[in-house]
Amino acid sequence: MLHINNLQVNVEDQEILKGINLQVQAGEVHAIMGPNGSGKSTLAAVLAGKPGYTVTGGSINFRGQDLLALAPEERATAGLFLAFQYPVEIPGVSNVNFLKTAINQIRKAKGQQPLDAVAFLKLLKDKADLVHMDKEMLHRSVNEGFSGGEKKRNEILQMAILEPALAILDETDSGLDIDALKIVAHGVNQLRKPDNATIIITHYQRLLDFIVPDFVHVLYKGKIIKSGTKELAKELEIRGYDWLKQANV
Amino acid sequence: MHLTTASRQLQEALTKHIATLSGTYCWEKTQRQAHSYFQKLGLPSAKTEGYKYTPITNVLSEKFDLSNPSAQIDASHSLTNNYIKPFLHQLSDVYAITVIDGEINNTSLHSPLPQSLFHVSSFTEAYQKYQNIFTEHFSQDISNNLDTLAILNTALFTNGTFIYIPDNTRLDKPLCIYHFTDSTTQQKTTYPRVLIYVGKNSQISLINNWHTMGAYDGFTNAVTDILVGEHSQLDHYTLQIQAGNAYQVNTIHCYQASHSIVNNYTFSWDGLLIRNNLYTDMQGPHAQVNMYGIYCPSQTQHIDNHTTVNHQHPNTESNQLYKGILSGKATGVFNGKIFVQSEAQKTNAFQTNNNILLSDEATIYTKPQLEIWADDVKCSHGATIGQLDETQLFYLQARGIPENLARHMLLHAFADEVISKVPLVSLLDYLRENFKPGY
Repeated sequence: MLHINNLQVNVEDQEILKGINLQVQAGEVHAIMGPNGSGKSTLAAVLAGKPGYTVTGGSINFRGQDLLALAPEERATAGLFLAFQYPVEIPGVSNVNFLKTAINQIRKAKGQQPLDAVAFLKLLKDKADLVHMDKEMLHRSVNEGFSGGEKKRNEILQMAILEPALAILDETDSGLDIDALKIVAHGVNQLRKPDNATIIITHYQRLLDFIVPDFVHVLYKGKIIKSGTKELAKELEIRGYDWLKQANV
Repeated sequence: MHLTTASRQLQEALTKHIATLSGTYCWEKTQRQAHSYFQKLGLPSAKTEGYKYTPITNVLSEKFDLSNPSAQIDASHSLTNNYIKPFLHQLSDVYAITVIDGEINNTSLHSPLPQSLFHVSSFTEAYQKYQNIFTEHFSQDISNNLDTLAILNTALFTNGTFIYIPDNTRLDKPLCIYHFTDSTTQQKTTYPRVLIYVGKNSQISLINNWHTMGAYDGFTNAVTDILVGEHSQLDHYTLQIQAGNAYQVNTIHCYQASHSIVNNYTFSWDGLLIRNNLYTDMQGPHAQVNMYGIYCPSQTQHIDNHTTVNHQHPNTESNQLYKGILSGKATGVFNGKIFVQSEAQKTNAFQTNNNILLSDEATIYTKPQLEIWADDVKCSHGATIGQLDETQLFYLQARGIPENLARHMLLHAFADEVISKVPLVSLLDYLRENFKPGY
């Protein structure tokens, strides 16, 4: 599904990613771990097409397409979804209107008819229950005045509605208490299917107790320095990143 | 035309016009007064503070013959009913009034007005019956109002539209004045004059809808005076949405009695050069005014909003929220004056002006001016100038929404803080449908 080949990325002339290789197949959950400043969020941003990042080398193939040639909205309609580390507040745009516009753009790209108001509201209600989202919050402006946990739940709600082929969760666990973490993890697990894949970007092993990955990769100074199974995450929890850093200085 | 030549010709024409006044109507005295003021003031110059960012005089004297009040040259309007008709159907459910080149038009296009509920006619027709109102209004001192173009209107208007709303009136529908400046056959200068009298304990909505019709440019120099009685509420809308080839100076002067509420909405989205002067005089305690505006000039459009609120009595309140979206090489001006006189204790006066610039070549001048002589007041002002938020734009795009649509959604959201305050549903729909900034 996703093939990242020797990806190199600069931010303001500083090399942040120095040759990333990653293969993600349908049905898999990958965790990308690493200390602060290792390039985790840069990788997520580049995948989603955020402006301000310069790809200086390498390629990304997503479901047979050159991902880097696509605009952010085309990546989304192609089936890629980024759950933001810091979801943006958009005063004046209601959550409902935002979600309806988004789903219908994605349906349009798939050659499907837009959902009418009734069908959309039914879908919205079902998916909102999944992440314990109040009706009242759906009618508020996007993320405006939401708590940290509410914002993250809103990200998972969007993911549930848009049903992406590949979801990238960027530090979705940051700032969540244990209850909110469980709700978010439950939502993500419910959405796992044989034909979709998930990349979890996280600093801590904690989230991986709830969303169990098939593969774990450690990113350090812009490179994946170690890959393994879920056991690697446990080992990191015990031994810390220094264990790997020392081997790679 | 050369500026000094234009200026001289205008002064000559004014003198001539004043000499023709018959002495029949009480406003003629005011017109003479205005004439002598205008002789001193002349058209705004480069040094005129109020027109510093709207150098209107060159444009006007190059393009228009200001000395020709349309009524003198063109009694039979070339505007056909078919031309006007589409505009009259924009807003459903209104009491429609059509004014062409400043003259009220008894067109058969709309259903007759229920004159038992209120009165609408020309000044001259209304004069006999409502003489006391005209006399009282036109005896007000005009020397405080030194907007030179408003004074020019006062000197030169030939007739006006008078609307009388009796005490204790609640109308089921808004009144809508469709103002047409007919520039179908030539460039046109018009001096529309409107006087609206709202009695006590009444509640009405009134829309002034401005259109310049035709391939030629039109200069509309309009003055609307609004007298709002005690305990009355007026919702007043200025629509410059399908203004066409309009150069317009639009002066509105609201005189509010005690316990009255005025909600003023100004939507300036179209036209070539627009200058709105909105004056509010609080003439009694506990009066309240809310002033909302959206301006979105694009290309080379120029839109200027000057507001003045004069708090003369205690416990009065004013709220201003003006928002601008500027694109292309457009220019916007917002100048908001608030005076709180020494006797106007317990005044609340708030003013906010937010702007989004969509291009490097667009310009906004924003300036609050507060003069506070009372010591027990709450006043604030704030102005912002920014760009569309790139992080918001990316967030929407990341959910599959194309960039153009995402921009549109964000600009709508920005403007809707103001637009959504409109309580008339049909007007609200019309506004949202026609709001297309930055194109």
